[in-house]
Amino acid sequence: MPANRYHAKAEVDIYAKTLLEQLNAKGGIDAVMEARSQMEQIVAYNRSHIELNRAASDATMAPEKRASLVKGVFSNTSEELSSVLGVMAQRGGLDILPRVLAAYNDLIKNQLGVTVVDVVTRVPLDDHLRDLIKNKAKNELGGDVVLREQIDTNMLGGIIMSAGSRRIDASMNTMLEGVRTTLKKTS
Amino acid sequence: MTEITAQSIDEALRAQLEALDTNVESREVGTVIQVGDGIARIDGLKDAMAGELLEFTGEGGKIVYGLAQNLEEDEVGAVLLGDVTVIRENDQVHTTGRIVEVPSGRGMLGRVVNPLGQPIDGKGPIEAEGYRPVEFRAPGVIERQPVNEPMQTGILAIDSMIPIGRGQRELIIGDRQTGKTAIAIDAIINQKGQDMICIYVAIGQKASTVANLVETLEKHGAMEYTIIVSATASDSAPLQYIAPMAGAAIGEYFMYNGEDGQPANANNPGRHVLCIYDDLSKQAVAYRQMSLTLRRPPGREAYPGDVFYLHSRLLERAVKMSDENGGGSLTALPVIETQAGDVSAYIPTNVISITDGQIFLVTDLFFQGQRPAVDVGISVSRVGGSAQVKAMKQVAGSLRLDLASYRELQAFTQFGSDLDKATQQQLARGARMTELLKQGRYVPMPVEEQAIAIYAGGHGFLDSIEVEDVTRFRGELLDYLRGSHAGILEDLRTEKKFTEDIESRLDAAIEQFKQNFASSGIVE
Repeated sequence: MPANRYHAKAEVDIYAKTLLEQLNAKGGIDAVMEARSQMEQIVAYNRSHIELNRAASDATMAPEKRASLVKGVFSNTSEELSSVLGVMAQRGGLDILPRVLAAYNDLIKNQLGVTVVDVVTRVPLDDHLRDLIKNKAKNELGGDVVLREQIDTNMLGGIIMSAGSRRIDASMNTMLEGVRTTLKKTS
Repeated sequence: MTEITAQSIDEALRAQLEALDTNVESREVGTVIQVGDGIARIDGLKDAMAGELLEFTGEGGKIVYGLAQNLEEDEVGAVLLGDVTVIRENDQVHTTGRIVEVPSGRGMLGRVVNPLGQPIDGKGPIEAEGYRPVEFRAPGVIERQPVNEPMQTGILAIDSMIPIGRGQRELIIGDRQTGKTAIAIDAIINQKGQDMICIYVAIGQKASTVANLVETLEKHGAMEYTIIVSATASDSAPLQYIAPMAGAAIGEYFMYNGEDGQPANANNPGRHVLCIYDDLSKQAVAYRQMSLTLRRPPGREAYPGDVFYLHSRLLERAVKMSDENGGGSLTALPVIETQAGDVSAYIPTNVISITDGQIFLVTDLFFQGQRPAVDVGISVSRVGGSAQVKAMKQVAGSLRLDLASYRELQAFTQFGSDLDKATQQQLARGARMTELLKQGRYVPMPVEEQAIAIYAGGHGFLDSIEVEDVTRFRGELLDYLRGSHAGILEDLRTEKKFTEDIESRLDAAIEQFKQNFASSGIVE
């Protein structure tokens, strides 16, 4: 990564922009969202497993070899994403991937006018609830809203919604935890 | 014992259920990118504030708190205050919108707590009267008044020559094993019945040392007005870092509130608090460790650039409030440990320049048997003089200069023995005055007795006493006065100055005592 932070930021922006434009041209918003999910998984995996990060930035390895190694590891991701990851590895490593993801999220919002809302529930959403959440989020956040639904069987019920770094936790688990804390505190 | 009825259970449950908050709030959430060495790096939390309390949700939903320290472009660097082992990468963190707070109130008196205000003495939970933020703005000039009340340590050498006032910041500095903590403990013991609340903050000490200290204070009945904040060497660096600030916060509660727990004002006086930070060099080391692991650039002696700011904002919280604000005070006695007497090291020079004076303890004096080993030549109190009791001012005014010229002469006479009468007399007086300042541990002296002891020395009553007998003479004289001339002590206590009448009665009493004492060894 360049030592100058302005250059580093420009590099991050180029990766994010290239990826978004290619995926949007090829598969529209669905492809864009798919790559976002994949990048999130890779970032989360890299945080707790340092080995791949190290290999991808190993200076003793030829840049081309690093690129092919990373491409091989992420061969099940979209072609565009694996290519970008390969270039990143070739040019120094995957350390900047979290920043690329953040820039990618900003582009989704600013360039495509789409707000991604992650919704976690115990049971799958029905259409009525889906519309309700979409409309509510659209009013609050503006722009088009894309819901990314997740099922968490550890939840007792309720819903957790997050957009960007804001999060609304209306899950039963959290509510019960609140009750527990209150009952513990009041003498 | 209160009877538990079905109705009381019903009422309690209802009250608890009414306190439930079922509102759902939107919160800012970040993710832990990296964790290790008690430090977490967090992605997100763009609205986090410097010093804000962060809530980490770790393994099994366990909550661990942290302090936001580094606010960078892409991430936040935070120090963890609790069990760091339950936090992993990808765990969630959210901001709380508040800074670290500690409980305070009368329920804490006599207790030993950690820097988060949680009890660690096994005496059960503490019922807090209120919470105070650990970081708090120091009062401005208008809210203060000059130091004008004495804070008696009960130590003759200090109260006479380096007087400390309520609201002052007086540094206790010296090498290891020179009696720094002993002075602090004696000062606490001497506060009995003085309407003073004492807070002793132990930073980076052995847990056994703290336990011994608590035992000592309990033995002398000092724990009932004392709170111990303990961040031992085995505690994490962030806890050692916030310990002095937590101590100040606990003390501020008493200063800003009256006896009734309501805010202090002209009609509701604030309390007086003595805060001892033992020691700030260890706090600086803990802060250095934190800063380096947070990748802040190191400066002199690898301390971060804002270590001066850290100590100055802590010590600026020592204050004597104006009468409109209740007139309470917070006296700070920070302790600094030097290495081989090097006061020009970074942290000692910083704290010397922040405080209103310093009590300098010297190894040589300590091993010569001069205890407390206060070097009166370089110890000063810049503001305490105006708070000194008049009686003490009358007798101790020239003591410092006399002792300084004695030391100079003493060094001179090592080269020759032919001395004129006046010089010999000055040397003899100096030796006796130096001996007079020796004092045992845990035997603080009331100020009127200190004044009488110095009066006796200054008026030549000790000149005919053997140097070895001086401390015995002092003790027995005071016993004699307490027994046979209690009126003199009482008058001095109420008048607070030596009047002609007191002086003549005192002279007669000392002469009388001396006649009985003389038989044990008088200089021909």
